[in-house]
Amino acid sequence: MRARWLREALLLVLAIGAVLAVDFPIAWMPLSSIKEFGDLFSSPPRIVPREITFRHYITLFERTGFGTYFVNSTVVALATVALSLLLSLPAAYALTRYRFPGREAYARFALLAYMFPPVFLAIPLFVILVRMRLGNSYVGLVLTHMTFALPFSIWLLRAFFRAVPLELEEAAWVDGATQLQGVWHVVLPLSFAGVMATAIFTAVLSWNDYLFAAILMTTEGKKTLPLAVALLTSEASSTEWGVIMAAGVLVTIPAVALFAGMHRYVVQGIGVGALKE
Amino acid sequence: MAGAAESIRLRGQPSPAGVAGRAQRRAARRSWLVPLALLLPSGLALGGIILYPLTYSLYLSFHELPLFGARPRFVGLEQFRRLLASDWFWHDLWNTTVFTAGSVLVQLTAGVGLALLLNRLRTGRSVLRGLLLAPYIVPTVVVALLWRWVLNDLYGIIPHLLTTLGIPSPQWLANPSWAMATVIGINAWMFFPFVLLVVMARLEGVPPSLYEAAALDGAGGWQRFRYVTLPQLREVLVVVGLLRGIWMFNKFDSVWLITAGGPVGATETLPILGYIASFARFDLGAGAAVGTVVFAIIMALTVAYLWLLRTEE
Amino acid sequence: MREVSTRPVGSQAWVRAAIVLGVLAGCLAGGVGSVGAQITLEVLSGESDPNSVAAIKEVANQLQAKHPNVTVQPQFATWGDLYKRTVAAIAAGAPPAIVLQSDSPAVGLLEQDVLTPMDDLVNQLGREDFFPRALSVFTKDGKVYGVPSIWNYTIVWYRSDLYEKYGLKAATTWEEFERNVRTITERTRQEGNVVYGIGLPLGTSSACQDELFHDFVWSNGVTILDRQGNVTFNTPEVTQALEFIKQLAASAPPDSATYSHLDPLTAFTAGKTAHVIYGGRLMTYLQRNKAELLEKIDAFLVPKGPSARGRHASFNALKGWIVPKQSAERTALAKEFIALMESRQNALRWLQAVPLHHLPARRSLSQSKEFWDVPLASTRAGKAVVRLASEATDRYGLFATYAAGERNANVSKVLEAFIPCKSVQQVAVGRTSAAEAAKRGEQEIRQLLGK
Repeated sequence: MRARWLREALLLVLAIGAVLAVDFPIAWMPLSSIKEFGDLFSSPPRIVPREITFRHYITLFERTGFGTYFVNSTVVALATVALSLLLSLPAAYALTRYRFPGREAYARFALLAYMFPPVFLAIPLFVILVRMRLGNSYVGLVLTHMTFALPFSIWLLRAFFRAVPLELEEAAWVDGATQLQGVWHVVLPLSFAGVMATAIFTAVLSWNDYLFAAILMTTEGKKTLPLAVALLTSEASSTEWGVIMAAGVLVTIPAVALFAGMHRYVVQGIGVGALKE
Repeated sequence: MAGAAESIRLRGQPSPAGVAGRAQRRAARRSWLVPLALLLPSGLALGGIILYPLTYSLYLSFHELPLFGARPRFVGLEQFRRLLASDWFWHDLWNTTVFTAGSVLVQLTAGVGLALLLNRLRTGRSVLRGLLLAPYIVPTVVVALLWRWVLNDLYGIIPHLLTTLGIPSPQWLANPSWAMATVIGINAWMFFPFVLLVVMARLEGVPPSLYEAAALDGAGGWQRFRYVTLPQLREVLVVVGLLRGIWMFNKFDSVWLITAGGPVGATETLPILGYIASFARFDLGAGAAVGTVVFAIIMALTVAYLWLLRTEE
Repeated sequence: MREVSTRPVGSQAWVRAAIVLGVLAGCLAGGVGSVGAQITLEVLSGESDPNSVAAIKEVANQLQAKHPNVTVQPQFATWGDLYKRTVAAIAAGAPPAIVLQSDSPAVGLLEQDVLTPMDDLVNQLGREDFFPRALSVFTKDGKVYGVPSIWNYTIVWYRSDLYEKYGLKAATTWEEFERNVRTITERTRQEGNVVYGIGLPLGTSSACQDELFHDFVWSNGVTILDRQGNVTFNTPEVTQALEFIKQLAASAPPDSATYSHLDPLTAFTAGKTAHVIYGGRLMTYLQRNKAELLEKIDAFLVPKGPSARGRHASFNALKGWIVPKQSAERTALAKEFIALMESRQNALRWLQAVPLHHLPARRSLSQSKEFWDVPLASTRAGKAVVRLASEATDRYGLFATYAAGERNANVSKVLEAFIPCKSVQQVAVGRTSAAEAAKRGEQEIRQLLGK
């Protein structure tokens, strides 16, 4: 019916309008990164640049160790995901498949970890890690990332594992499978979306961390991207806004790519988690 | 929060039949060794990475460290007394409260509103939702710098657009009266997609028959929202609200990187106070004391929140 | 229902586990670091400009050629972080080999007695060649603990074309300065395209304290801690300085409260402001982004304050090489590196990495033609710097702005707690009176220092 169609169109327009309003600042970033000084700092600002330049990107790689920072961030993010999954998968399984005293307490404790402000965990962690000679190292940083990755993973994976009925595992046992095979062939495949979602979220959280990197990583060769980008404005070596915008673009692309590629899992995962909580 | 799976687990008797390994399985399920082994690695990690620093921080808050690396000197409750007697503590507590309440409110409103909007669409829902996720994915550092650039008075695009449209554009980040509102706005922009995702997922699980029944009973749009949608969303909103509340109360980088607590302390929150105390003044005892107080506040509020909701049910 | 095979836990699982463990192992290996007879000398500084880094690396290669088992590793921190990192590293028992430390923090380290005496090196390079004030900063109980290397400075840059247009003259007093700044703002506003008088770093950053607060406090003849270490923040002179900054702020862009190091520079380059208080690095920035301005700018020294003790002064950071206490072998290598670094050709390359921004701490270099013979020196801007530097060395004490009393560890603490910046903001952005801000600032300092 025409009224229905009209209303649908109106809603669509509203939705697109919302998307434009929300994403406009983000789109402004790559636009700014290719502008020359004159266009960047013209008053009033020009939306369409008179000339396009990529010198800010070149500056970024020439005048800063951007390639190195990229590698650092990637290594740390991968290691964080690996370690947190390694630790939290068994934990989530134990929490959902067994009954024992202290089970709820353990789960609650994991949530409790989130209530403590990270900036206050940073102080003692810094002291401890430096004393262990893990200051300014990948291992040290990955360990600090466990403070948010581990509780998060345990909590999410517990929700996803809960959504996999024990019946299915038991059916596998009936067919003669060991418990481990049951996990491998039943639980993991069914919660795959959830595990992927957890992995992606963890990776993004690690990629975006500023606080722990700022406190722990002191040398050029070990900086991660968020730290390096933040320092671009505080350096007295005068890095200009065009370069900062270029840096922003490059730092955001991997995160966006990750989400775009895994969009499916994320949404599926959130859906399952939300429904089952 | 109990669901079908939960009840199955609680029944928990292994199914009959099965040949090899049945005895093994029974023994395994009753033994507490297996879950212990499974939990040990993460338990150790949590203990070492969180519990130990937590207790160390607590310990530090009863001490004074005149210099980094010096021996802590026990001072009892002195750090807390000094903290609670200072007026910047209460000022920052107020800021943190305003920031938390404001951010959560705006996030929830925007998230729920947009979720409802997208839920009504038949076409392009997935694409639009994906596009709306963008602010959540952009790293905090980039968000902070981006908004500082975009709100800049001299060459920022937003003041320019606003003045062109005839809307007055205040000094968003430089005016102490507006800075907090701006920071709340930016934070809400960053985090509403989380709410959006969760609410949309929940909405998709609402059977259309409920709406149809309500419509048959003569309920209009708003009434359908109030009596069908909202109750379904309630549970999710409670959890999400609590989570986001805790996170926003503890937030450091998404305020610090935008304003560093300025101008003139207008956006200084307790986490920032703790950071400055620890890493600018090197007064680790004072910083730890701030942390302890913040933790205590969050615990108290969470307990109160959950208890209030329990009694409401 | 899924088909379940009865084969043992698949090889896939083991492969995956192995990969994961491998990643972890790799990280661990990376974390543990290299072992062996290799010695790594960390050179920590805040000079991250690529030309400066190249200068350090060139000398690093020279040292590594002589000592194949030595690796020199340049490290960087922002100037604000440098002191903290050094202290933290020393406390953790793993100090960097060499630090290019600026003055006040260096004094802090001196008082903690964690540095190696450098008299031998200073004598080797020629003690009389160093400006006496430069040496005095690093001296304690008659021994010298650092080798002065670089002197930075701040002056007031202005748009000479705008001065000509509105008939203005270089300012020598605060009053003249404020008048010039205000005139340009008002007149350009009347003409429809406002050029703000001055860009000020009123945001929470070290620029607020270094280039703004200190310049005006010192040019009013006082310091915030006196020679005996007493707190002299709540004085008429400091109050005057705060009040003056407030007056200047009235002619600054409206969102100056968000400005840190970069923004006044950008605004000046973009033609939105007419003055900026900065060092020689401005010229390199202009060269890169708006070279034509190099012919349209000039400079004067930070004007004298109205108090009886008012004088020309400016914030300048004297930076010198210090060597934290460590093994004899490392100390010897560190000193060798510094000697190489300060040998004539290397020193020139190091100083000229940012031309006319780093001034030498030694007379021989400061008076050499080679040092001043850079392309920038032929621009109007460059000529201004040459003129001011030669005028200022003896007459106005540009190279020696403040009394030794100011240089103590407590000043570092006050600056790192951003107390002066807070006072500036309260007055210039908030509604606090200068007198009230000075009083509160003094209270906070006393509390911080436990006085």
